[in-house]
Amino acid sequence: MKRLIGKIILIALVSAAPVALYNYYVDQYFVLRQEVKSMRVLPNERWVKTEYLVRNPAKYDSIVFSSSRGSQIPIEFINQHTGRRYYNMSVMAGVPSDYLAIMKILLRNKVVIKHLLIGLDYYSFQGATPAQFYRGIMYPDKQTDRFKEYCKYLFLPFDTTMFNELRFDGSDVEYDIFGTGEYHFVKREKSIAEHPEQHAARFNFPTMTVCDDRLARTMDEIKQLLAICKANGIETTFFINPEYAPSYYCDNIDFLNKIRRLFAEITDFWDFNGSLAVTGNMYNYVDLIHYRKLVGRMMIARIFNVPGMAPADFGRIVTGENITAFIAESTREFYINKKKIKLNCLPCRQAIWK
Amino acid sequence: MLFNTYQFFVFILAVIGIFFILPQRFRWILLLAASYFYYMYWDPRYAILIFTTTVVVYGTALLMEGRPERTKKLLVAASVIINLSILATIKYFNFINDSLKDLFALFGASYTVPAMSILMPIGISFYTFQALSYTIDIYRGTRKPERHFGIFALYVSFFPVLLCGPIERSTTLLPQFYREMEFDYQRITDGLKLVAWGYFQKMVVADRLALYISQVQAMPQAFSGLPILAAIYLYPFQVLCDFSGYTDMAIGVALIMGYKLTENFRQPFLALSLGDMWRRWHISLISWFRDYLYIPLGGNRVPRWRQYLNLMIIFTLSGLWHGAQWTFVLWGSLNGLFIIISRMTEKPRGWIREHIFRGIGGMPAPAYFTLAAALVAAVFLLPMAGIRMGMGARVAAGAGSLAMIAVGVVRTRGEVYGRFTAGLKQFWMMAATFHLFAYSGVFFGVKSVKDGWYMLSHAFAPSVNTDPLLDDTMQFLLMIAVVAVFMITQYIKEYRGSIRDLIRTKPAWVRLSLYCLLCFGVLFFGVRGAAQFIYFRF
Repeated sequence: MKRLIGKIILIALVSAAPVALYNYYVDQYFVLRQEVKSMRVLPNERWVKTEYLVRNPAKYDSIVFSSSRGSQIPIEFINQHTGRRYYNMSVMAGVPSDYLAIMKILLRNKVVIKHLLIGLDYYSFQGATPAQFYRGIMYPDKQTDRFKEYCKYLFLPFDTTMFNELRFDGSDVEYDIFGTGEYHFVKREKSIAEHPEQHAARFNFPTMTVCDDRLARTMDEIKQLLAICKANGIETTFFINPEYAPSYYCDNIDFLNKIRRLFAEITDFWDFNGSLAVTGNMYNYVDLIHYRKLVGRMMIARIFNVPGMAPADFGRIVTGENITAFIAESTREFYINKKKIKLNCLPCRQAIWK
Repeated sequence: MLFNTYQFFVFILAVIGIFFILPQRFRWILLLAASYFYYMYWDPRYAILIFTTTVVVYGTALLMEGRPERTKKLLVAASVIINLSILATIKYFNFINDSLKDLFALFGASYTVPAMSILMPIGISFYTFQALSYTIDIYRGTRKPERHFGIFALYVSFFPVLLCGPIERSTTLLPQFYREMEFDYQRITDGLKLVAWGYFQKMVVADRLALYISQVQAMPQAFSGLPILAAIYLYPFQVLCDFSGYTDMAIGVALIMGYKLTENFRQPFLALSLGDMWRRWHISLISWFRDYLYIPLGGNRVPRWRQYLNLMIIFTLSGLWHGAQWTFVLWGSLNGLFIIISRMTEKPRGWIREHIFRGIGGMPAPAYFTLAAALVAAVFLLPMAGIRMGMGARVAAGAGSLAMIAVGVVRTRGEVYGRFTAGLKQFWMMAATFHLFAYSGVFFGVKSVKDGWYMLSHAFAPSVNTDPLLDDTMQFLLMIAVVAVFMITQYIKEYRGSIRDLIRTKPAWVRLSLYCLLCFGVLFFGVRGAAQFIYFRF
């Protein structure tokens, strides 16, 4: 018996040690060491960014929450026009449940917050947070949970995607994670500037849409978020990110309208979808998902009323009062524009993260 | 509580620990409690169904003892009908209902029977078939009824085989529960090695392949050409490693405690014909169908057309057993059809094969060198004649000429050449068998017949959306590498015998290094996240 247990322990140690060494050295999700030079691929932003704010509670006074699309919101530009100190808290596939969880942690740790700029996507009402991925694990607020999660990261299996992903070590993307929190698509921006003719290849894919409905739960999370903000005297501004037109027009307009109506009952919001002048131009997008910084700048100009920087029809404020007119107008526009552009829509599928 | 979760690890550690502490007479209680706990961990309501099956089968078996043939027939029929009714209601009601709805809609008629919202217990097909085999064995007089209800309940619910088999016969498993199982170091380490190898197959091979294949199967319409072709060829490996991985874990866990379970897979992809393949794939199910359905239907003793009909029945039912979907029915039927065609054409195919390979074997060495020279000449001469050759054609011609030279050189040595042509013939037969299995297997993995047809009809179309396959080069190479490693082990097992026995002959440091490498492979290259086993849904 002793011999058997001894052998099992020996084999376990010898086989686990190289895995731990590999993970400690590579630190793929930037959790174990958090040395900027060790950042290789997109880190676990939920963990790293939250921890950073917790450790620097007074460095900023406002936050931009969004999915990765919001990473292109220019922080310096907002700061310049608002006089506040924003941090770009965009996270991969971020949804309101993430923002709610992060807000609770930040408030518990006395982080200073005066204003929240919250960017949603129509997907936010269909899919949940990707918590089952190592990159989607939320920052554990308790010491014991943190230890458990550190162990998880120490024994992660080999992930081939890191060889394939955009490099966040500066060669493809520059991530100012411990500064403004935003990132810059260095390589792609350079490629658009130098070889604009090759840019179309990034958009030559059929559009996949999601057919799940997580509306009620998401609305509930937004209500909770608003209640927390109200209780702590934090101002909020909501907006819906502008989707690349061929993606937007593959969506189900009835469902989008349902979201808009319910959302407007809770709070006012900016909707940046539907303006073909901006969203129909692929040069305003880095890829099928992400808009470019120049679009982020236009959005901020519209929200904070900076004149002459964005087309007048780009972004409309939706309120409880104008929602019916807005829905009628955007539905009409949806069907007209849908005919104008070339679409390659696939049947909708289940959300990957539910 | 999947086999590849931490919960199972804790569970099994506790069960095995207590098992060896307890005296033999109490062990069945532990195993029965553990089995019910394991099953109820998924959903406590599952226990009602398995308990009902146990009581019905146990009771009818006892009632059959010493009764006249007619009464026995009635009793066995009652047991079979009750058990199959439970299975049919739970597993097939909605399938039949939906099919009827489609049929009525085809004729413009309305059909309003609503779908049933029922609990679908995992593993129900496995334990029902296991219980049925016992009932039929009692009826046939192959064995005496088991009087100990607890031991019988353990036979039906024994946790290693409960969810995914192997479907154990009462004649092999039941007597083992009475045997005194000692703590045997050698046997326990053998069991642990099997469990580790099972994890490797499941986490390193099956789940890694699934990362790619599931993308294609979920939305085949997003792909065309190469990505679909790759999914078609890789999917058989995913299914085999998923199921065989589970089986090895089950056999290993049982072996640690001293119970020997039936072998379920015997290198199926090295089979030389589809018939041979089905004798190596899911052996416990196919032998169940053979013994309890095919032979009673007349087996090979009836006229040819009846044999073919019986085969078709068996394979269609086997498809249906896998799932209440037309895709499974089609998959089973296709395999039945292939086997029938293969039997019908056995003689002409054999004749053609012999002549082709004899023809190749009869060519003298200079003929190969001439062919090689002709291919090389074509590469240079055709462009001069104004015929353009693409890079692919030039590479193919170059590779072909090199192959011809190699064959020519081998041809000069008669004995080697004989082995070479025999190997080539064997390879051809294996490849043909694998292709038939892989292409019919398309229907095994997709959600609808339409998706399956799309995959088959677009497999050779121009490639669209190759990103998930080729963009991640490392993942692609890893998929190829793990399949290669798996096939090497299959080859060794087929032609050299048990790998465990081979390793046992090596020095201690080599053995230890190999075990560490296996565990490291699982930890480092395994896909985590407790993906469910494909066969759990059956």
